Amino acid sequence: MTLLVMPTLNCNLRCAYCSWRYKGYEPVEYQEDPEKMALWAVKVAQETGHREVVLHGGEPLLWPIQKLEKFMETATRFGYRIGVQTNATLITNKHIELFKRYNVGVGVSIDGDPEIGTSRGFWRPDGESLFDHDVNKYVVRRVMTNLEKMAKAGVQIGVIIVLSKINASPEKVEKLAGFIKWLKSIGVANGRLNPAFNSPYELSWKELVDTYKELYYKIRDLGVFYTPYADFAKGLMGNRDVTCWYAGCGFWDTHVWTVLPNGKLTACDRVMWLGMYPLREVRNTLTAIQARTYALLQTELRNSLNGHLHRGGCPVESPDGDWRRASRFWRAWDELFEWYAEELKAVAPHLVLTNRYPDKLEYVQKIDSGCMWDLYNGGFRCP
Amino acid sequence: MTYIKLPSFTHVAYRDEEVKKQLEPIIKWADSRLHEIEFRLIKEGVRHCNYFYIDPLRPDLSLVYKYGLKYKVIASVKKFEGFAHTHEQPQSLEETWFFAAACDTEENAEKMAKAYVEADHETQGRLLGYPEDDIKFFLTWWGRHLDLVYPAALNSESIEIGGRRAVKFDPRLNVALRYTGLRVIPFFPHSFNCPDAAKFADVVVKLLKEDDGEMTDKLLEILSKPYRFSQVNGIIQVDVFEKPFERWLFTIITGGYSDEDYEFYAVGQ
Repeated sequence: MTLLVMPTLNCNLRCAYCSWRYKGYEPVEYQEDPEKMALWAVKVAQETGHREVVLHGGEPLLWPIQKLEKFMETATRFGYRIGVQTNATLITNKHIELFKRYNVGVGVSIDGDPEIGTSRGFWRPDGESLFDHDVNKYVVRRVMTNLEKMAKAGVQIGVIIVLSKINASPEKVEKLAGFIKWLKSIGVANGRLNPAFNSPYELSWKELVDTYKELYYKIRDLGVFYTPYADFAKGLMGNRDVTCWYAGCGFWDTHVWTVLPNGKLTACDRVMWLGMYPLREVRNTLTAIQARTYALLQTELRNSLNGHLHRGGCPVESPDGDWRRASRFWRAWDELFEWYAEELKAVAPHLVLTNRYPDKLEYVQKIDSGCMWDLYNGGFRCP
Repeated sequence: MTYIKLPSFTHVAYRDEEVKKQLEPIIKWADSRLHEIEFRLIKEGVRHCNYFYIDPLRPDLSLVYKYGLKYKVIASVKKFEGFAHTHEQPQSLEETWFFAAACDTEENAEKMAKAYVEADHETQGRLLGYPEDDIKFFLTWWGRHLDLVYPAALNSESIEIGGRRAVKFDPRLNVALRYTGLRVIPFFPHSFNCPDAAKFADVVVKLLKEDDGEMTDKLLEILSKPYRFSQVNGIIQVDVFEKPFERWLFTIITGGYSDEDYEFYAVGQ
C-alpha cells in the first residue's frame, strides 16, 4: 500500500503518454501550506498504517524548496519516511541536500537516453511533439545529469521507465537495455518498467510480450531489480506481495491512496487520469478490492492461464475505461507469467510453481487468507 | 449466460465529503425507518406478512411484539454485508442469521414459510402485499435475472435526454439504489411507472412523512436523481448524477449475478 501526497496537480512537462493534466471536477490544484499538507498525510497514514508518504503530482518539485523542507520536517517529526516521485528536471543541489538530510527515496521518471527517451518532454495530446525534438532531448540530458548528481551524493534512487513505441519498439530495445546498464553504472539498480496506455504510442499486448522478453535477456545478468520481472518471480513462487496491478484492484478502493492539494483522500493517481476523484474511505477493503478479481475469474478471465496471478491487471487500463474489465494487457501478463515460469524452471527445476493453478478462484481465496504456497511439493499450507 | 458468485458487498463511492455528509444520514434514516415500516404495513392492512432476519446471538423481536405479529423462522442463512441476491448456507453459528416471516396471523406465517420452501413466489408476493402485475413480472423474469432492475427498465417508457436514450422513472419506484437501502418500495415494479406500485409507495411515503417530513423529502430528492445502471463482468454499478448525465455525485457498487453485460440510463419525472 502506498500513500501519495500531491501538493499540486500541475506539471512542468507534457509527456507523450501522459493525460496532460488531471481533469474533471477538483477545484484546488495547488496547496500553499506544506505543514497542513503534511498533517493531512500523517493523519491518513496513522489511520491506514502507512509508514511512508510519497510526494507526487503533478510535479511535486513545483513546490518551492522551503515548502518541501517544511513538509519533510513535519512528516519526519511524526516518524514517517519520505519518498518523492519526480521528473527530476527541477532538481538543484539544494534539493539533493534536502533529500540527503531527510533520507528521501527519490523515484525518477525517465524513459531512456536522449536518443530514445524523448517521450519525456513536451507533447500535444494528439501525439505530436510541441517543439523541436531537441527540446525533449535537452530535458532528458538534464534529467540524466541530475540522476548522476543524486547518485554521486548517495541519494536512494529508483526509476520508472514507461515502455512505448518511442523507446521500446523492437529496434530500440537494445538501446533501452544500454540505458539500464548506464543507470546501473551510476548506481541506480532498481526500477519499474510500466507499459504506456491510452496513448498513440502504446505498445500492443503482443509487442509488450516481445519487448519484456527481449529486454529481460539483455539485462538479466546486470544484477538489477526491475518490475514486472520481480513480480513474475514473486507471483510464481506464491508471494502475495506484488505490484498493485497484479494484486487485484477495485478501482474505487485502490491499493494506492492519494491526498489531493485540498486534503481530500482519493484513489490512485491512475484513476484520476480518467477524470475521477472519488472520495476514498478508510475501511477494510479486501472484499471491495478483490470483488473485481472474483468477478473476472468467473467471466472474462475464466479461460486464462494465469488470471489468478495477474488478477486482470490495472483496471484503469481496461480497453473501454470500465474498471470491471480486465486490463488491455492481460493477455501479455498471462503469457509472460507462463514464459517466466519456464525461465525459473530452467534455474530451479525442483520448484513447484503456481502458474496454471487449476482452480483460480480457490488460489486467490487461499493466498489472500494467509495460506502459504508449498514451493517444493505444491499445494497450500493454511493457518 | 452463466451465473457467478461473489462475496456479498455494497460500497458507495462519493464525489466528495460534502456529498457524503448529505447522503449518509439519509441512508441511515431510510434504512432504519423502512425496516420498521415493512412491519407496520401489516398493521395498516397493506400486507399480511414481512420477511426479516434474526441474529441468533442477539435476537431482536421488538418490532414483532410492537405490532402484535406472529412469526416463524423459516431457514438458517449466511450473514451478508450490504446486499445479497440470494441466500447461502452458513457454516457456523457466528455467520448465521435466521430468516423469518412476521405475519398478521399464525396461519399466514405458516403459509409464508411453506411458500418460501416451495419457491412459490406467487403466494409469497400476495402475502407481502405486492401488486398483481408486479408479481406476474417477477414470475416471468426471476431465474433468468436475479436482479430485476434491468427487466423493469426494459418495460419502462424512454425519452431522449442529455444526448442519450433514458428510461423515465417515478422516484418513489426507484429500486436502482436499494443496494444501500435508498428506496421506498420493497419490491421490483414491473415498470418504473407501475400505477399499482405507486399506490403501494403512497402508503410508505405517508408513513415516512409521519416520522420525518424533511428527511422523506430528502430521500425522494435523492431517488429522483438521474442515474446510469450497468452490470459488467458480474459487478453492478449505479452512477448517480446531479443532472442528466453530468456532475457525478456518487456511485453504488455491488455484486451482480451473471456474466451478462447490460446498461441503461434513467431520469426521474
